[in-house]
Amino acid sequence: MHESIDDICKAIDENLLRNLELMQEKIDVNVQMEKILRDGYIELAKAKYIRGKESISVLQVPIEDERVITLFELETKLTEETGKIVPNFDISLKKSDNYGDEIQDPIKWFGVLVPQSLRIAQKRFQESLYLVVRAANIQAEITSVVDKLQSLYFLKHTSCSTNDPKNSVILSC
Amino acid sequence: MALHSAGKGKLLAVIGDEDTCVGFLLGGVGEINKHRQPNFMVVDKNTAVSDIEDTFKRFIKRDDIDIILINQNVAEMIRHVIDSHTQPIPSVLEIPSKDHPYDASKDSILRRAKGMFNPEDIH
Repeated sequence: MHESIDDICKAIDENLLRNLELMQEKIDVNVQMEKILRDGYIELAKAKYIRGKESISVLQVPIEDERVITLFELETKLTEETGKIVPNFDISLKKSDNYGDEIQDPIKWFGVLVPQSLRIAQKRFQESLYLVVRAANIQAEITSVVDKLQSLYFLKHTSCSTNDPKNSVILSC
Repeated sequence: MALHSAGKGKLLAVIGDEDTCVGFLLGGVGEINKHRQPNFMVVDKNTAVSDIEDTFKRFIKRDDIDIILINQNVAEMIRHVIDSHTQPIPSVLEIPSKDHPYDASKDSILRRAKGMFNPEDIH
């Protein structure tokens, strides 16, 4: 690679800006996720208050049963960008006609007539999963930008040390 | 940029307090595989840090798990293990818990990204 120091510096600036944007995006998604999860926790607490603390706990999850199957289908696409693998996630609800009776709605673990707040809590946690996937995609891009920046810094460092000393002082490497 | 490969039917794993696990299991994230291994772990005040570490490492090794959700306060307990995980898959996401709001300054990925603004630290 025979790039000039100006090109390298320009690429570093562009990647640093993208890094800043992604950091902001990640924080925004996390704040949104926090709001939805907080609602979910509150609805879960309401359901616990109505049904009793013991009746809505992890003890209701049929751990011995192999029929605990996820309702979601997570798809991961791997793309190769400058030698590094960058994943891209996508989530969707499984289509019930493909699986028939195999998939059971987890709300049934907690009884037949469950409080409305438990249904709302379920909805909130399901909504949060879409944000989780968005955050994971942003995170993957951040990692890729950080990797690029590290190699650019290295490139800048090496090209500065090979340059004549006069030039490196001017460029303040 | 070339499409390398694509995988369907992957799982999300959860490590967190009881409410977080119950919430996400209620949402339909839970799965117990043929080897009777669940994709979640409930952490309470009696859970040893080594157990959390072991579970996290086990989740990382499983090829059916692509995203790991972990409560930020639990992530704090095994920060060194999370920081040492630099592979793109599984992606580790720190989420807030009922008692601990999300703190961006503790997030491993954001700390790495922030580190890029101090190039002197890199060399």
